[in-house]
Amino acid sequence: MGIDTTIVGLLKAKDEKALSLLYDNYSEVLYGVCFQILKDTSAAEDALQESFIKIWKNSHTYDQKKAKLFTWILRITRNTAIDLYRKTNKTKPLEVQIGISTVNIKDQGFESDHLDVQNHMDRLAQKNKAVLEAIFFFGMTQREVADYLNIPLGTVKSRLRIGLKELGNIYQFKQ
Amino acid sequence: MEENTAAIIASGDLELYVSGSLDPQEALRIESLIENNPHIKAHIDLLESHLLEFSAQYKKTPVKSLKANIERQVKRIERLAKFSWASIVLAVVVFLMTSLYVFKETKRMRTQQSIVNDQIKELTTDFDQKLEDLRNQFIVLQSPQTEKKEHESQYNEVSFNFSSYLNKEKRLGFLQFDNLPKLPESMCFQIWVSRNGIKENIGILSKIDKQQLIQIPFKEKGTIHITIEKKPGNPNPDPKASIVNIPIG
Repeated sequence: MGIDTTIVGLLKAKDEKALSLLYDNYSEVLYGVCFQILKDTSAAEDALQESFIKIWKNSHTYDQKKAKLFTWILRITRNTAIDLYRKTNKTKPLEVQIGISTVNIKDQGFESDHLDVQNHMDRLAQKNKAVLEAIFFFGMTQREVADYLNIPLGTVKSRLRIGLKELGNIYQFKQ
Repeated sequence: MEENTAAIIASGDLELYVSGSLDPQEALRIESLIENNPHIKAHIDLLESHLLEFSAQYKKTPVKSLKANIERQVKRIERLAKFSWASIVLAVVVFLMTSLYVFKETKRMRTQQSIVNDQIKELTTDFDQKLEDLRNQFIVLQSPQTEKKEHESQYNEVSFNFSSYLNKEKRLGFLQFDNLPKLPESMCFQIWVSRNGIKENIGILSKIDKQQLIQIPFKEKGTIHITIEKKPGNPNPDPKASIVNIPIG
């Protein structure tokens, strides 16, 4: 039985152990996403806390047939972070940062296979990464990404395709 | 179908579905595709894995206290939820009890109101009757046409006196006893009138105040009788046993 299945079972039973397991397994990734959207540690912590509360409150709505657990909790977290961003930056539009990943590999204490994954990730072209970020984290359509990054729609499509292929390669490499 | 699948994958909708950015109607369309098209399902699975991998590269450790904060807040929410349920149950119980109490009180008050109304009606009737009686006494006592007679009778060798006031014009009549012989507890004086062989009971004399005027029916000709009967009176008294006989009319 996978950890996700255990967490889902506990969540449905409203067992508070579910939160502890969820936090231990996903808080760093979710916090990273919150930080990526909000660009502020305190705001990202608020967003993460609010997200966990929402996950707890809405656990009865989760349907395993529709999405994996991580996909579901990421959607909640991402939407919470975007809402918080809009609340605190009413006039300022969301910014998709085309930059280097902020992950400090040594500080995170990654194991050797993670280190290799990270090395591969770093090879993911920044321009493709920006398209993936805009779509996965900011929920933009391909047309919106094209307008935002001021590139043709065809370029967005090809960057997305290449980015996903690169991610696929990394994933296969990890497997 | 392959061409169609390729077009769907190229549309970018699947990425939006995975990131939760599609509107509900579009999301339902993709969910139907996932169910019916294994290629789409496989692509979605792959995208979800990509999403996890892609997100993982942004991993960042939050402050250590955050986990405890979240757990504390969830505990508080759960306590509140339990309290809310308890409050709802309590509110329902209080509401039901209050409703029952109000219903019972309303019923009791209606019954009481009905009793009070009956009493008021009875008092009004009694008051009207007493007023009418007083008015008749005044007419009889003041009228020069009133004929006053003194009577004397005996019971068990004890004599007693009384007066009769009869006003033929107004068809009104009263009796006034000075005294009455003492009777055993089980016996009473019964006043009644006989007209053409029909006996009509007027009432029982239990305790008579001096000067009290007792109205007698004086509409038609007849005879007033007083007999001594067992309490609470005799429905068919015998005129021969009468100790007082006063013709009227």
